[in-house]
Amino acid sequence: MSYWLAAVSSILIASVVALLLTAWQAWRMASARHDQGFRNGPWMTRFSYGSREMSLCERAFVAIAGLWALQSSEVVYFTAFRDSDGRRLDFRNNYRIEGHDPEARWWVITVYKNFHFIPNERNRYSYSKTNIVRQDDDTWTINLSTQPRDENWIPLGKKRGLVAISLRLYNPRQVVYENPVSLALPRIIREPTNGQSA
Amino acid sequence: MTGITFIVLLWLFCTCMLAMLLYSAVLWSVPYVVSDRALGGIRKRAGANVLIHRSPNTADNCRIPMAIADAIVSICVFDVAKCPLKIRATVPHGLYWSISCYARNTENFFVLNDVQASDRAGDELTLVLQKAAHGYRPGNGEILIDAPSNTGIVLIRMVVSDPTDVNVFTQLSRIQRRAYAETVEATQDVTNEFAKFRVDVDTPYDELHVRICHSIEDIEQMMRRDYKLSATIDPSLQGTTIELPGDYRIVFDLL
Repeated sequence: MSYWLAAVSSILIASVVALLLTAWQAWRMASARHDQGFRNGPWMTRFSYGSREMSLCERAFVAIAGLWALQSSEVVYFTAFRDSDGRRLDFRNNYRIEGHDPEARWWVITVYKNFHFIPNERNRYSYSKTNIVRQDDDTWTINLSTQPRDENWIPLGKKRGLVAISLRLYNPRQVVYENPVSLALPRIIREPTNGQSA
Repeated sequence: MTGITFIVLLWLFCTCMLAMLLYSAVLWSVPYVVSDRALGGIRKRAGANVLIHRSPNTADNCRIPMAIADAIVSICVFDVAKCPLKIRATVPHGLYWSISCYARNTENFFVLNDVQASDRAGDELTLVLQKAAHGYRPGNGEILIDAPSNTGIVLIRMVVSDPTDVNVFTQLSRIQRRAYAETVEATQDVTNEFAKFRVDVDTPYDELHVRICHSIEDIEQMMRRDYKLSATIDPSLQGTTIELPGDYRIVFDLL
């Protein structure tokens, strides 16, 4: 009898612990507190996405938040949940993403809320190498805000949610794999709330 | 260490191990659950081994998390349990294009982009997906891939220079829609069953390619349901082209 009790109690407690661990991991993923590998300013990436080498946690996260991601030999995915000063992205703020073309054959920057497109009348969710408007020196600026902007504007919408910015590099050059931490990537700048440029 | 202490420690150890095992099992199962749900939804709408061509993803039509907005995607849920699947596609020039295959556990086990495809296969790519046990012998220029699972998904991605420009999408969709999938069994076991056809349906096409799978009755029902057409399919029309009222034309062909 005591063996039965020991076994049943063990199973019950193990199940509760497993459930708590799962819930904790889910909360970490949903609030972007999980470890995402290499960090470069606000950008994070892992080279194991899509591959057989993903850990159980990585595979679970990618399945939920980035289903059917390509292998890193084809695309490197950088994701940012914070601005370049380390503050969590918030739809109520205005942001500028400033940079020049990353080291890749083609790139695209997409903004999400709760891991999905932010609905807007223009169906504008991203800018890429082929449709971004550049300045004279080939640099560019993408504006994120709820209020319309003249150029390269992605609406942030008016609903609450976890804002994420994805930078996808298609067929990246070798330097991306060699130096993911020190690579020159776009900066994400939060504008002062009175709307004046920083 | 007393006997009771030992037993308690042993119980604690076993409980911890069991908890880790259960936790690992849950994590392991997540990709399968998510994948099965997504594949099941697509399969329910379009069937397996059928390539469907989507318009650009928008907030209204896309439920996949962190999807790409700057590409048009063709999707095929594959099921190679019984026979291999052949996928044919036109490889565009000058823009990023890729075909990728994912196992049931979401592992990306194969990918080929436009540059690699042009080098290997020229402008027309033929990919054959099989389980190793099928022993399919690839034809000239065909690329044979062993799938690690019976089911999964094939995605063909083609970037769009500006997804908000309808003209660009229209132009690229002509290339996109030349791609199609067919089970190898259908092409290798052609008998006088010319009455068996299947229409791949999605958004309206300029042409509908008919492939061998179901009965004519299924086709007629599908056409009436999806496109409100009233064409009658006569088996003697095999190999001919029918002009239908409206924007559709059906080509009947044995593949």
